[in-house]
Amino acid sequence: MRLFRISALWAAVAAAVGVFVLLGYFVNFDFIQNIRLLFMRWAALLAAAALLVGLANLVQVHWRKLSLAEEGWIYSAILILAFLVTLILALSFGPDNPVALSIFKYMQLPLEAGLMALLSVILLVAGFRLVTRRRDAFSILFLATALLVMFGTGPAVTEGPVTVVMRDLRAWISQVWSAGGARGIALGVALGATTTGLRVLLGADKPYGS
Amino acid sequence: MCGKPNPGGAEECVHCGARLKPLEAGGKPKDTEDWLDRMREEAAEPPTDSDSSEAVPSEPEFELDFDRLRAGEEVPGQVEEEVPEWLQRIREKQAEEPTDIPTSGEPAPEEALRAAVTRADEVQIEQTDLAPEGDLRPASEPEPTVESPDWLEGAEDQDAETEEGLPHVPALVGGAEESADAELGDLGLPDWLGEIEPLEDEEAPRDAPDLAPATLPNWLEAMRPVETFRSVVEIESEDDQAVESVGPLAGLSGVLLAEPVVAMPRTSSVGSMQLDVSERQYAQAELLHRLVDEEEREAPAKPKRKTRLAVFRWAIAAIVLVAVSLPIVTGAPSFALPGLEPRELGALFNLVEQLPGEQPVLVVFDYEPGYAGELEAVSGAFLDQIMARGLPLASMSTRPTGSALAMRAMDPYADRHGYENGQGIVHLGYLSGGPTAVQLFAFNPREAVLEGFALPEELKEAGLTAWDTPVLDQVQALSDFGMVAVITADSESARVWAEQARPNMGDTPLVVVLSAGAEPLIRPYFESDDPKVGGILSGLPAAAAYELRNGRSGLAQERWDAFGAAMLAAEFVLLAGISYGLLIWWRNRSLA
Amino acid sequence: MTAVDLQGLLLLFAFLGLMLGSAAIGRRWPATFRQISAFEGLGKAIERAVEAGERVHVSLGTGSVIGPESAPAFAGLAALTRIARATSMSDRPAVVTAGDGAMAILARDTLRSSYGEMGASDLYDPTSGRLLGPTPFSYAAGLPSVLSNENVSVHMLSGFYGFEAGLAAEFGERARAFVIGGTNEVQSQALLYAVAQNPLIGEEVFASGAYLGAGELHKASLRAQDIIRIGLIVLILLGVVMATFEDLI
Repeated sequence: MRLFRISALWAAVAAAVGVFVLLGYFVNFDFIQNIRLLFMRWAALLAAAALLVGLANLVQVHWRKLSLAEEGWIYSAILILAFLVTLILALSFGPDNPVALSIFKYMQLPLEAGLMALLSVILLVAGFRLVTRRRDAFSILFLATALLVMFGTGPAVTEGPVTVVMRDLRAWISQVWSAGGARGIALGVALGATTTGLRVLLGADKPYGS
Repeated sequence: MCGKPNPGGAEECVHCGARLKPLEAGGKPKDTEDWLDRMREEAAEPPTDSDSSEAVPSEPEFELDFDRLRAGEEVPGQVEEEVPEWLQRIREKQAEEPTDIPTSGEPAPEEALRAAVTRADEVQIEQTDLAPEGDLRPASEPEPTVESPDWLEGAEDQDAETEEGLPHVPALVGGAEESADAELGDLGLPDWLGEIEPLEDEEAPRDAPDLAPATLPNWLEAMRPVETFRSVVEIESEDDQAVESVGPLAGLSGVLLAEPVVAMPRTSSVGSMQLDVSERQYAQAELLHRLVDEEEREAPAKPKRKTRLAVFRWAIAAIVLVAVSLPIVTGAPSFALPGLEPRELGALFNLVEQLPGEQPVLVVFDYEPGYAGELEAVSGAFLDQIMARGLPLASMSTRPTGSALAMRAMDPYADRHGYENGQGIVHLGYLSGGPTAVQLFAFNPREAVLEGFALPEELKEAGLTAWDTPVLDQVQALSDFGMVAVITADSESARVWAEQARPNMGDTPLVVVLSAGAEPLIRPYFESDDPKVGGILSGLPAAAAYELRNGRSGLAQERWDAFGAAMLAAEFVLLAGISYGLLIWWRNRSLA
Repeated sequence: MTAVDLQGLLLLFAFLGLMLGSAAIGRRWPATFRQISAFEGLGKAIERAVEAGERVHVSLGTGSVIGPESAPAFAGLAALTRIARATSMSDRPAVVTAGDGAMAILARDTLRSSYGEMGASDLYDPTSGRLLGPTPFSYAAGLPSVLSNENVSVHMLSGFYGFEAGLAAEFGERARAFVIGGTNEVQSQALLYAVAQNPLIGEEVFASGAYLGAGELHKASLRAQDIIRIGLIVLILLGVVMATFEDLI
């Protein structure tokens, strides 16, 4: 009786919940809306709980690395230490405590901003070698468009008719071609996302395992 | 044996343990008989679907080469048919024999002998037929069409299926060439649908000939010398047979020669030494060769890091660093502030100017700390204008770090315009749940956010929440806010607010402050006939123009020169990259 | 229920019908897909990784499970099912990372069930599906250690990414892995186009299941998408013509 296997039960539960939430977008019956809201509240709670499980998994991974003295164990040690210090501070004094906020301000923010700066260099390097690595018309078009948009976006040394033309050109590329292309891609992505969701609802894709 | 008396029927002596009854030859213990009988009964029962599905692990649908190697052993459904061909033939012969042998009466010796001779003739004819002409035929010559028996056709089909998955195509990537007759279980349909739908192909095996398929794995099949080797001794006609020339049988023909046959000069029955190898065999030999080669091959040393790329990387990083630092350190180069402002800026400015003074503005900080550099500069002038008007402000975020970012972004302008935490400004904090949380908040803000973030101590001590502050005490729904502004770096967040929260906002306008890259995707919401977004602000040039409108300098103007120099450097690098790439291409083409 | 709601519901049912219908006729008339070099390369790269004892890394991005950004990650999980089976013969099974706790749990479940179906449950390691960091950039920052310590030679990005997509792809390139990446965020696709060897543009990220042979319904999904897409194009063109004539009149 494969129909009544445990995996089928999970699939049925997932499909039923999904159908109610989905119907809530289209049908305005109180019953469906209430159930939808209830499921969404549960989802929000479960997502928060899942974050805790994920963090426990993160610590587990790095603890194992540390205990086995694998390559890069020192970074794992720093991560676990930083995690514990932040957790204890936040739990003891609250996340809006000045100490917790200073950890954010003086550690997390500069680190993430540094990664963003690194990204700008990475993108420039990628742009530099794009034509060398992938020599086709699309790559040249890609870079040429990027250049035109940058010329139109960046400040000019002096304001003049060339600047005005470049800004108009930038607006034309950005608001006509780029927006049109992006909308086309967004439509395709929406279609793909819909079919993916429907496959999950049908139980054909089981991201929750079987 | 101790010789002491034992109860009747005892098998062993209760005193010394010696066996009292002799063991029966061929006898089996009872428990052994039980399990053997059980096995026989199970074997006799036809397997049900559910049994087979549980007993045999589901075979992967993909056919990587290494899986195909294994497939011959584990194809579900063929397990019970896996009888070697030679065994099958013997069984068939055995099944036929009773019909040849009379069941009653003594067989006439002449009849039996005639029957045996007839069978021997049939075997000889079969052997003659089996000797293919193809061996003598050039490989290029097309094979004549031969009507194959059913069992051979089945085998050929099997070969054809195997040939489809030869190692030239990575089998993990399913293509159109996959068989259309795949099992329904391979369709990937949900279980419930798969069970409801009738399996048309389930009938197919019944029509198949009752002949066991070959049991050799494909790789072994490929190695087997199929029809290329045959006996060099052939029975010749009596006239052609050699006459014995030595020994006591000299002069007689048709006798075994004293001289070994292999030592005699003769014409080879095989036309040439060239093997007649089919395409499939060739491909499988290639596969085997490749596997052996792979085993022998030493793991290639990882190529040395391209030093040229590393040099380029460092050079580009240095160029950007110098470009950004120069204006900050030396004040040069200097760029003119934008004289033209985007069309949408005027609409946004007027929208903020016309907001009712008593309704609070909700600002959502939906970006990560990495984007703070850009978005703080872009949103600065906007926040400055709101606070200059003295509008009450509330902030919230669906990101864990959003509230801290909100404080960081708002505090400088709050100080400038005399806002106090809990009086003119309040932070609702982090709303867990992403897009789902946005819907919940839009439906009922007070239920979604219960307390607040970084509230003044006196409020906390009094047990009050952010909703009890003068900023939010009149707010029951999202439509009670004067304006909702979302500051984000990705279009997805902006879209969630425009699509999921907008229906609950009534006439309250939604404004989006964006990273420059996300603008093209959100602009349609602003430019449509029924706009879901009432105002849009993106990019540093627009922010600098906003500051000019406000009449107060801010982060955008502070960073304007560094931004301009970095843009020029980036343009230079990209142009150099295009030129370099085209130069390499031109050089290679010239050399070619 | 408004007219727009009704249209949406009808479109949804049309999608459902087309998918199931395409799955039914797919056996008689199998679909022919265009070649996507990225997926062809992925198959070969996975074979090489299995033979060389190297790992395949599947990145499910930084999006949450409960939101529209989960769709490409679900597509990545469908691909992971196939990849986990393919790599179950290797002594170094696939490793999966996510930037969301719930997604990491789903990744572990997918790995466990895939290995279980292959009869290789002993390959399952709870740490092979892991949360790298709860924020997008902390996730990206954790990638280099995974790529180098786990000896990764195939780096597949399938999920939601912001600008960190550029970092994630570049770290794979630096580790000299086979990098294939797709996301639903359009601006991140531009970053992947510039940085990754094998970018997946548009909805190609959702086609990974069909190209990796995850089931007939995946192929049927592509057919349904194409039919609906053609319908939408016709409607858009009709709208343009009608608006033009309306203006002229």
